[in-house]
Amino acid sequence: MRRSATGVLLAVALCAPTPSHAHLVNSGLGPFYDGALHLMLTPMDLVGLVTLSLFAASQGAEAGRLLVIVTPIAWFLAGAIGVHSQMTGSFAIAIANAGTLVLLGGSVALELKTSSTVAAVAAAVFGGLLGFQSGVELRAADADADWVALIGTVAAVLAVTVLVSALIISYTAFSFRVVQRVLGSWAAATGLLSLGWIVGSGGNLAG
Amino acid sequence: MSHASGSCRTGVLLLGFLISFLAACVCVSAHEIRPAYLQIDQIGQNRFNVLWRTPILSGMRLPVLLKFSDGIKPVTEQMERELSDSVIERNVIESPGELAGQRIDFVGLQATITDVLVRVSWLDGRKATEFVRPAQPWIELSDRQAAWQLAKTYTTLGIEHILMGFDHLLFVVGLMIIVSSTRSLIKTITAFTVAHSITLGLATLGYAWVPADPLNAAIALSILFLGVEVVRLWRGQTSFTLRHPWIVAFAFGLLHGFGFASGLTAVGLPSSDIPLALLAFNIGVEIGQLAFVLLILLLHRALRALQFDPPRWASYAPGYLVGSLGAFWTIERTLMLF
Amino acid sequence: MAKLHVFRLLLATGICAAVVQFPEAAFAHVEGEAVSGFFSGLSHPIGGWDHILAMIAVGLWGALLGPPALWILPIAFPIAMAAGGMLGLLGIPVPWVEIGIAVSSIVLGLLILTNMRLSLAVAIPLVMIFALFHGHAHGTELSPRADAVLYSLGFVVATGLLHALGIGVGAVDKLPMGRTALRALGGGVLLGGTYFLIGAFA
Repeated sequence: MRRSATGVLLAVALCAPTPSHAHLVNSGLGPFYDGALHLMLTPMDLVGLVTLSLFAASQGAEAGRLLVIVTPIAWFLAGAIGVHSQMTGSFAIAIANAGTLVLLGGSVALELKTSSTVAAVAAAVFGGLLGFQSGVELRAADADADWVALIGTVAAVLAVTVLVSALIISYTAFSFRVVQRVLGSWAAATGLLSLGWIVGSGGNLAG
Repeated sequence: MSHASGSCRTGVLLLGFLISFLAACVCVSAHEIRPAYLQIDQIGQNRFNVLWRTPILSGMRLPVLLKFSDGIKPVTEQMERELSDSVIERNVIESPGELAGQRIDFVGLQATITDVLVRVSWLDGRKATEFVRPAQPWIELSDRQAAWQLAKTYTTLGIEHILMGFDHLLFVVGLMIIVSSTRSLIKTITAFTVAHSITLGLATLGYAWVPADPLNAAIALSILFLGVEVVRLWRGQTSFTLRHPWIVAFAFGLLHGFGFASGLTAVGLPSSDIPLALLAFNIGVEIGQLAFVLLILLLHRALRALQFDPPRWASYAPGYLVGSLGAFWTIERTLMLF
Repeated sequence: MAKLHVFRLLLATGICAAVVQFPEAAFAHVEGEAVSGFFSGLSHPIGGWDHILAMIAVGLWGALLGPPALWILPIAFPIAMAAGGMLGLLGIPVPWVEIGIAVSSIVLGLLILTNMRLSLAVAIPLVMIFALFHGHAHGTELSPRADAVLYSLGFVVATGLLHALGIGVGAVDKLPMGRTALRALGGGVLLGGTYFLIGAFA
């Protein structure tokens, strides 16, 4: 019963970005919470982050710990660059993020095993990519509140990585691993479709 | 839940992380959000008194302009009065037809983080209260208000108040550090909840009153007090508080309840339905508090599952934060008394 | 225990069916515009009976084959379908799509009806090819929109739920006479597929 509940939780975590906004949502609670909410309501960021966490944490507890430390740092640094860049959206980054979903989701679906070093590098690279995009979005949405909002986003990133990786490390039952793989396959499929969309529309939708 | 014994240090580490982020946020944007307030009272067939109160934030006026629908005209000069923390503007307007269904725009609101509380009352006793938020900086006046809408408005307000009330959250964190078991945690949080609900109710209904500045200093002192207890816990000592955290939570909860009440009265209550608004606000506060406690517990468990082995200083960070911020606020707010 | 298991599966099936059937109604109170991307994505795969039939049939067949096919097929299908969808979105043609879609229902129906137990090495590629056709058909129908990620997500989740529906219905296999009922359902899929094949030529 507990297992199924966890599965549902994980599914909810993946499906949660339902009400999406391209722009910074006003939580009514100031920029910190706005930033945290921004992550939760931006489907590409959240799905990407959850997929990254699925991938890293399924490599074991050590990889999970590295993920939890590396991702928020990478996200913050790249996010700071994104906030200060004059970009409004990047075709290349959008493609990279969709590609990330395919790569990481596919690895989860195939249950590929790798070392925790590779997982940490993945966390740095893909956490950085997602963070950069997120920083650009934050700036586009609200030029004043970007720093605090970025910190809010990173706090949410930390919470998501901690929760998802702990969930995966704690529950190793077969059925839960199947749920994980199905979610990985869904993430990869979402990434493939998004790729088609972004490339097909010639980058007009990037960002 | 988290005695400083090795196995539980991870949880404490987590709290450290979380609080550092929160602290960073608060340091950068440390100000209370006070809503603006628009009151419209019917005084004649088509005439309405308008009162528009906007907060002054660090010397700055709120850059928001009221814009009524086209047909509505002012019939008196605008009177303006500047108080220490807000500006009050009054005038009388005339509406060609029914006021209900008319629209008011709050030009510039979307660039702020200020909410506006709008209250309309008609001569026949109908009243309506609603919030306008920066995300949707306009309102269409309605002459009916369902009770649930009022409840929703004030519940949201309660959630906002606790989540923005960093001192209250820090106190809760302190409580979570010193309790020794889940059972004790539930008891302590319940005691805190009951106590602050009592004084919130008493203060809002006007049966009790505490001046704001000493109250804030006392709330800060309650946090500092917990910091001392955390240190006592680290040293392996015991105390009345560590044995019965719920009693302390109850006692200081009475204090924090007055703090919540000041937040509620700053917004104002609808004279039509004070009990409902109070209840809704209280429920909102509890929802926010419960969500916060659950999030901390979840993260604590998750970090333990990840088997972190943090350095000693990291596991002490949350305790230090509770103590030092408590001390800082106590000094700061005590100085403000003079 | 087994009965309880079946009951739970059936319950889950019911919920899945409800979610897939009434998404707009159930979530109408959520912010309209923002959610529309997800729900239009969610409702696209259930826009045509040919698609619904095939995706449920994948679940049914998985249930009949039992583990590991039971869960490997629903992992493989979305990826291949999305790959087809991507080709469609990019305007890269894939031959015999309409016929392929109809044939997929016919083949899956036949496999279920005859209780054919193909090995995984055959079953997975077969299902993936069918998925490619279905995805491509959807991909070419889609127009550019801003909420691409959400739409894609909704689309994929709907597909997954349809598989789950098939697997859930397939749980009758564990009941007495269930196998017969399941194979009869396969016959139904076969009939449906034939109908769509005729439609594809007409």
